[in-house]
Amino acid sequence: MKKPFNTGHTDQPLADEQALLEHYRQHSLAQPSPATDALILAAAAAELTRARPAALPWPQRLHSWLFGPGHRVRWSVAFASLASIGLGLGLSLRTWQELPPAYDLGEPLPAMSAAPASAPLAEPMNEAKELKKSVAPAKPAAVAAPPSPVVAQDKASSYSKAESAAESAPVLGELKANSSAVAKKRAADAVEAHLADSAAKADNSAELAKAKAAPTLEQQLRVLLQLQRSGATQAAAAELERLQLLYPEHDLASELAKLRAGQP
Amino acid sequence: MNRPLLDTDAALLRRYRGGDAGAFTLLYERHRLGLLRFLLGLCGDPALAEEVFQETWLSLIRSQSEQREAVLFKTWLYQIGRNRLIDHWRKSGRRQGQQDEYDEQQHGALDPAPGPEQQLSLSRDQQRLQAALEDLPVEQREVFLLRAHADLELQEIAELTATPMETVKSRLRYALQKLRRLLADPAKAEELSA
Repeated sequence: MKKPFNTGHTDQPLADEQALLEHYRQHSLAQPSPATDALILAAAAAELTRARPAALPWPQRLHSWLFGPGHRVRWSVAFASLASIGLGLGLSLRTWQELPPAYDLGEPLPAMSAAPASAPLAEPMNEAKELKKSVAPAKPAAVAAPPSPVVAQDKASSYSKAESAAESAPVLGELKANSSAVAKKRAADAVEAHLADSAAKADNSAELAKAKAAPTLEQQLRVLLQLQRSGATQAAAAELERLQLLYPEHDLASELAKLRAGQP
Repeated sequence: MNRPLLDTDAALLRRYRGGDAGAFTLLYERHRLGLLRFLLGLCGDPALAEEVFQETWLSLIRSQSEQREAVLFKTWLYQIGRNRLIDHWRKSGRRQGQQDEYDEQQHGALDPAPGPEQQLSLSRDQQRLQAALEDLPVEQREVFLLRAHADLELQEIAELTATPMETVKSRLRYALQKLRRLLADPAKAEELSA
């Protein structure tokens, strides 16, 4: 019930107005006909069927969904959905960027280079390569230095260079480049130290190394022969001693004699 | 008396716009009698009142616009009905009562009428009530009917009729005084209605 209207006459009771209004209400008995009621309610239901949201195109439906009744809750839902999608995308992209590149796409990452190789396979290969490098003492530091992640690629390239140099047998060129006795002695010492170290390793590894080094025996004997001819007797003796340790079953003296007889 | 938020007229209208036909039925049940009686009291013609009543509801149904937050649904509904009735009057060429010639000041003096109980005991006849109402100028009658059937505050009536608040207040005061006088004097009321 609303408060009575003050007619402005303070001495007039305010209940007067309410009594008159109520009296008038009680004597007003008019009401809409049932036909009018039915028509209006049917029109309301038909309007709902006609203006069904599913019939609207999706931009209009989105607009009415966002700005229609209850839009505050819907804005919250829409914003939360967008935030969730953004968070998910961000996490996915971040994870994807942190994955290491594929092994064949470029130079390996430092972490991958530093990973230790399996001993039975890696060791004989390294030994064979270092044995070959002994005939190319231009880079003795590469033989003696421990493997470093930073120089992994340089070492790989130097290995390939040494292999190609050894296999093409540029013996004379090598001797001219390394004519000093000190360099030869240092190279021989390095080889001996490495052999002593490798001898302590597994037999399987040694046999594999020998198998890899066997084809180079003739070349090494040629090198020894050149050392003897050039007058580096100490280095020649050390090399002979090393070869005897490596090939105890061979008669190195007769082999050398054959080579000497065969060479001009 | 506070109604739950979901049961307000605006909430029912929103539910209806959202596809709830039952919400419209509730809304219609709530306002059908008041609106029809307001229109009937204003025009005095049952057929015209029902026609305008129907048009008002159909107009509301077909309108896609939402009710403004600051305006009550009831004010909005009665405003539509009132405007429709004025359109009918304009089309039929009927003059809107005696409001042009009516001098509100002549009813400004205090009415030495008897008390309300005595008045009410004297006027139980519905025809006398209707006759007294029709004797009022349209503008006063409109304010009285909006107060009686729509239960609107004076400020809401002022907004609905686009009239200053003080004018609405004086129109209601004069309407009440005149109705009391007419109802207290049955001979005068019958003379006016004849």
